[in-house]
Parts: sequence; C-alpha cells; structure tokens
Amino acid sequence: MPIVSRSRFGFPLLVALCLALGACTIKLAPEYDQSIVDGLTKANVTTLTLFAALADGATKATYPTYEPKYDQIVGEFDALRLQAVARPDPSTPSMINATSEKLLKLDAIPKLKTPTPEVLQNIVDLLTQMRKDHKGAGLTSAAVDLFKKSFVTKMDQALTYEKALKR
Amino acid sequence: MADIIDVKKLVADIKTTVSGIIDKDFPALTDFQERQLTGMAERAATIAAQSLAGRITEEQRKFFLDDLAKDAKTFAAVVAGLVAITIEKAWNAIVGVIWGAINAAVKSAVGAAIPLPKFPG
Repeated sequence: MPIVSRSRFGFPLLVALCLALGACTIKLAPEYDQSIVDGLTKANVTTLTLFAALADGATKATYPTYEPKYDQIVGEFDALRLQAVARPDPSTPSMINATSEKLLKLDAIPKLKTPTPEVLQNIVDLLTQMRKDHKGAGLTSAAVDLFKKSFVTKMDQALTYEKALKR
Repeated sequence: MADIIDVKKLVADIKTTVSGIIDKDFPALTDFQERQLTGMAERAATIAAQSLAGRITEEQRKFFLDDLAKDAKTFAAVVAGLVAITIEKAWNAIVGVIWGAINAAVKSAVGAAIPLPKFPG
C-alpha cells in the first residue's frame, strides 16, 4: 500500500504541515445565535396567529383593535434585523491574507453577505404595507392570503439559514 | 524505515467524512429549494388570478409582484449561504482528518500530539 516513508526531513516536514494546516480552517458563515432563532420562532407564532385572525378579511373599522399587534410584530422583526446586522460576519480565511488575495486575483470575488438582515427587512416592509392597507381601506381575504404566503416564504428563508448555522 | 502515514486509509477517511456531510446537507437543501420555488410559483399564479378577479387592487398587485422579485433575490442568497456552510464544514472536516493522521504519526515519533489551533476571531 502507498506509504509516506520517514527520512531525515520527514519528521520536521510533518510538524510544518501540522502548523500550516492549523491555519487552513475556514469560516464562511457567521456564528450560530440561539437568541435569533428563538426570536424568529416566537415572532413567527405571533404573526401567524394574526394572519389566522384576519383570514376572512378585515374592514377598516377593525384596524384600531389590531394596531397594537401590528406594532408589536413590526417592532419584533425590526429588533431581530438589528441583532442580525450587529452579528460579526466571518473575516477572510486566515491562510489567505490581503496580499495573497490580490496576487491570486481573489479580491475580485464578491464576499457572501449573510442573507438574514435583508430577509428580515423584507418582512418588516411586508407587515408595514399590510398595516397600511388595513388602516386605509381594509383587507380582503385574498389580500390577507397573499400577505401570509409572502410571509411564510420569508420566514422559511430566515429560519432555514439561521438553523443551518448550528454546525 | 518505518512508514508513518497510510495514504490510502487517509483518502478513504476523507471520503467518508465528506460524504457524511454532503449526504446530510444536500437533501435539506433540495427540500428547501422545492418549497421555495413551488411557493413562489403559486404566489405568482395567485397574484394574477386575484388581480383579474378584482379581489386585490392594482397597487396591491404591483406591491406583491415587487415583493416576489425581492424573495427570488433573497432565495438565491440563502441557497448560496447554505452551500457556503456545507463547504466550510467539509473543508474543516478534511483539515481535521489530515491533522489527525499527521498528529498520530508525530505522536508515535515523539510521544505527544500537537493540538489543532482554534480558528482566530
């Protein structure tokens, strides 16, 4: 079977390889944050409960009853967005410093941004629009259904990504 | 001369480690893509149907279509992010396997292992 034979350079080479490999672990995504996942789960339940209450549509006159709930969920998602923005994004892998990046032309490759802040901003915009429509002219059951479908898509994106960070 | 590292075994160990990660992550990614793309296609159809039926306003139709476009963009970003996480896990697992093999050889030579340094930051 193929083997690596020991020579007078073999052992020092092994140690050098160990040290080089130690610098070669990488980080391509931010740290998992249990509080963000917990916050998303809680806000998800609250928002889906609101959608259930509005499933048959709602008149403009009912808006004052729901205003505190809208304020709560918009505030919760905005707070989660800020939490996600404040979380550090991973830096460039330690084995590739800025000079090497330039030499290897890796600086032209766009660094992946964490998607969570943008997804949460879209949720805030969605719920803000829904609140505006409810206050303005009321909501048809069809409009509520579309708002809910849109919300579910976004929550799926946020929760799937955030849970995948637990590695 | 004594042999230090069994390269064939090392390659087999790396393959097993990477397969384990990909076999776990790939189905989850496929399921996610299926849910998202089906959901977005259904939304597009619903927006058109409800708009024609007069159950949503013209302004709402425009809002929902713009919103759908935003979701398509973030969907792509999430998929890229999930792939990056898998690559990170696979890469670091490979480094771990190789480190383990070299360390075993070093330990047999000097009687002590070298701990794998933590990723800084």
